[in-house]
Amino acid sequence: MDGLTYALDAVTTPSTVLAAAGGVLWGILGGALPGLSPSIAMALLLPFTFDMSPLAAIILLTGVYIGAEYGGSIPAILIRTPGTNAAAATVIDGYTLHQQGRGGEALGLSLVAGTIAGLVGLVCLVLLTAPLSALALYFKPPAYFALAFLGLSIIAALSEGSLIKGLIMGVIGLMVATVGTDPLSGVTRFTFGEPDLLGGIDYIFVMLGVFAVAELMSKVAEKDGVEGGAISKAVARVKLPGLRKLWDLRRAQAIGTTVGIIEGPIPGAGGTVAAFLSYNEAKRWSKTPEKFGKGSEEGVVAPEAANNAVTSSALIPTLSFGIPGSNSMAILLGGLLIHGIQPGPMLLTSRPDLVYGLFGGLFMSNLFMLIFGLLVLGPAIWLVNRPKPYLTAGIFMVVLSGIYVINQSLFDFWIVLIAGIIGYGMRLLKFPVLPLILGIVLGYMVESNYRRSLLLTNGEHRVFLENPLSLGLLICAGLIIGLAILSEIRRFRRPGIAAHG
Amino acid sequence: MKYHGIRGLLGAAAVATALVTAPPALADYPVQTVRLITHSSPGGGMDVFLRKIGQHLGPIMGVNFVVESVTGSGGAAAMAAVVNGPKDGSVFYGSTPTHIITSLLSNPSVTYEEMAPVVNLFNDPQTVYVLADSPYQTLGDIVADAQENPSSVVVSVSTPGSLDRQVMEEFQALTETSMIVLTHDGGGDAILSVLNGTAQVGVSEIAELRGQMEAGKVRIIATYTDERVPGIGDVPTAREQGYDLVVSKFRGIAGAKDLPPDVIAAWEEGVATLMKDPEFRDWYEAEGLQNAYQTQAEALAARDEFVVSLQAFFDEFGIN
Amino acid sequence: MHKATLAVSAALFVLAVAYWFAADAIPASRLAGQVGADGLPKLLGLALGVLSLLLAGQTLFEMRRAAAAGQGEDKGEGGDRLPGSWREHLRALGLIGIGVGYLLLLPHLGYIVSAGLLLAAVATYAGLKPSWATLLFAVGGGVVFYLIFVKILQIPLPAGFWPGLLR
Repeated sequence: MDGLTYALDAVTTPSTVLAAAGGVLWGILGGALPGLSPSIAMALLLPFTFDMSPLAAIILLTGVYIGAEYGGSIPAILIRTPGTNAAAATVIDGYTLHQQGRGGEALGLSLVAGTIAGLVGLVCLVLLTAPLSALALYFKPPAYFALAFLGLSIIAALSEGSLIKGLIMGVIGLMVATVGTDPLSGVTRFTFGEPDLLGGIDYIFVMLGVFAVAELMSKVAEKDGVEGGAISKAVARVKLPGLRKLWDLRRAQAIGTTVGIIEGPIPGAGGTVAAFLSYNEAKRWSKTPEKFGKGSEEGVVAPEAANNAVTSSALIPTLSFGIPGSNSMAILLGGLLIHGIQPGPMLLTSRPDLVYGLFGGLFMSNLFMLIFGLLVLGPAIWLVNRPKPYLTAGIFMVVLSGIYVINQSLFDFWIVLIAGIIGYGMRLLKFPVLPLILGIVLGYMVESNYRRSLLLTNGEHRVFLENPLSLGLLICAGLIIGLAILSEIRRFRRPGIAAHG
Repeated sequence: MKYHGIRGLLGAAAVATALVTAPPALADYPVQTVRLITHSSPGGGMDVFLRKIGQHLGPIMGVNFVVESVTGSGGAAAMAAVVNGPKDGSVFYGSTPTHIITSLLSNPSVTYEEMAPVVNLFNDPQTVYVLADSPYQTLGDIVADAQENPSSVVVSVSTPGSLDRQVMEEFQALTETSMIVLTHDGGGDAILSVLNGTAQVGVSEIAELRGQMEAGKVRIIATYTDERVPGIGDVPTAREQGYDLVVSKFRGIAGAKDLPPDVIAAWEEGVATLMKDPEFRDWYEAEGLQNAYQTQAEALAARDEFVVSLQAFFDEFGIN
Repeated sequence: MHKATLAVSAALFVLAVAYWFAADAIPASRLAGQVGADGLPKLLGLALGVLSLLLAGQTLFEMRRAAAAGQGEDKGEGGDRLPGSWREHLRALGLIGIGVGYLLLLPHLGYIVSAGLLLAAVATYAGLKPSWATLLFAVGGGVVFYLIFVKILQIPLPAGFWPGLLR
């Protein structure tokens, strides 16, 4: 049998079709609940895969992964709460669109953009496994450092008009990231003897605080104030974008998809970095960059395309090296090992049925994502249209429930509340939120790889310029920072525009 | 990279073990259901290990085993769950060196001192591997290269607090060489660094290497064990090659201190029988695990020895 | 707004100094490599210190410019006042207060009861008139959240003292 036959076989066998459907539905629901990351949603189903055939098991788990990466955008758009880490970039324009009464459109865009990107990613997975897995091998510590640094340089671009405030938040984010175990020596830093801080502060806690809790605080504060920023009208219903609209958004879609496919196989980079990078690139190449942050459709399409494209290409190192690049992939690997399947360079030759069957399963999962996405959005919109007191209470309760699963410690809830107070203060004083998130997300990666690089060269900084990948990425970062400083100086010289901060 | 996890598994494991629990046991165990707690996430090494124990030891001891994973705080949460649980033999911890390392490095509310090993089952051999086309054939080649070119041989190890890191630092002290020990966020990343040539040598457990080994990408050149490890080709130990280093990465069962003696006896007896179970042996040999059965007294002595050596290492390198 | 920003820059400066000293106290290890475990933290402390001074400088500059431009224009730009009133901010903090209460009660009363209480408290706080509907929302909501998180998702949220009563 050849590959296509195996894939067709998977698409027509009831058990695998059911696995894909069930996995995607569960994934969307899990991803939509803040605190349940894709990896946790997968782990919850892991025990049920023991009795399945290996193919159905792996299709179920990847289905959950695909569904969850999409599901995260639903609360990001509707309640300013990223359901998964990779949906953080979607919050900016998605929630703004929702406030403008265009939440239904934003949800439709995110769903369609995600599906298209997932399918394109799948094609790349099938056709380009070899070159993309080589990409994962090209990344050595200097290149990882440069990639993380490029991610950090977006801070400069994202804090237009308040560069100093943006940088301050970026630095604080990096400070949060230094809490925990030192990446090289293993000494503990800033934990104050608190075992709960040993593993560091997970950024989902900070995100829930500065996004969701701060938003709720503003909502209850508004009671005796002006109704500023409240959603004017109830969202009518989901509106899928037409072909014409998609064509207009093709640039953002292409950028998101490409960035996602490239980032996926690089271990440790993952959907979050891809989403932020593509958001920034989409803005740079957009014909209407001024709309970003004020309800840009491209600002939803790019990050959502990116985090769904990642779901396909992230499988590459897991399948071809047996090395998981993220938590989700680690669970998938565990699921395979339990069935006695050892992923690695030999997998394609020893179990072609499994690999091509999985490709078929991924295809189904992406289609199911479109179908179930539509089904789930109706109830989701109904929920957020409940009267404000109920909605506020419900969201607060969700925030104070799900994350318990991560460390099973009440300590994390305190972090969320504190982050909420800080987030509220940041809103008042117009400190940008995204630099903080970027700092926390990238802090570990930038520090550990900088120090590893120097360890490898006995302290010689030359290595960052000698490694071509690192050099290229650093030049990009330099351009981003240079342009941002230039525009900041220009802004400062013309007080008329500067005052808004 | 931080690995998250959940408790989960409870229901399925309970059902699975309930089905196989037919014949009555050696001795009457005081409780019906025993919880095995691990800090590893579902699908992780320790989780699979405990599930296998539950599956095979259940019929022998006549109890239902339920595996729970309590992640977080480098094992501190799991230790607290065990020590704060009832002390009637109904809750145990899947112990590895991790919980001792966590106890020494941070200040958790519950440390290994409030626990006691019950039995040890395995040793997880630490191996030294290189790319298949590497010029290194023995540890001696590596040492010679490192002596000729100080600070140029790069050794890839997993996390900063891991035993594989520790053994390579000790290896340098022993051979009076200076190499670069590159730490990672986990075992997988560490293998990637060897595959892409960042490091010339790597240290890893066998299970994680299996896929690359079978594909002929890497080969193992030494093991830090007492005896040769079966199933990986005839690889001499480090000691045979003239470097007296043995790492004991034990895997066992621990519980709260001062559990009833009949509970301990039931475990010692049950596990001794389990280790002879052919099906169980097939599994652990395929995993590259070595039978390292120890009774409580032996395991306790081994643990104390381990703590002393670990503490000495941390003191020497200023880690606390 | 400007005054508050100045106060925040001062606070950030204090944070930077405190962080730098905490970084200085990180034990040195031979295994930490060329830069050391305190390398990045010290750099961050320094950066935050400099940035907080820059922010203060920028704010003072803007204040002077605003003063020079005159009061009327300042208002037109919506410049020198924090959005919202202090009463609003206190109301916002009240929500955190409810959250704190929930966290303190959770280990004792258990998830299902605490969840019901939190739902009732927040809904009332956000403007719902206490009524039978509130009670229904609290009880029903508590049960639904319990079913979703504890039963379906198997998250071992605290059960409180209830199981003790059954023994």
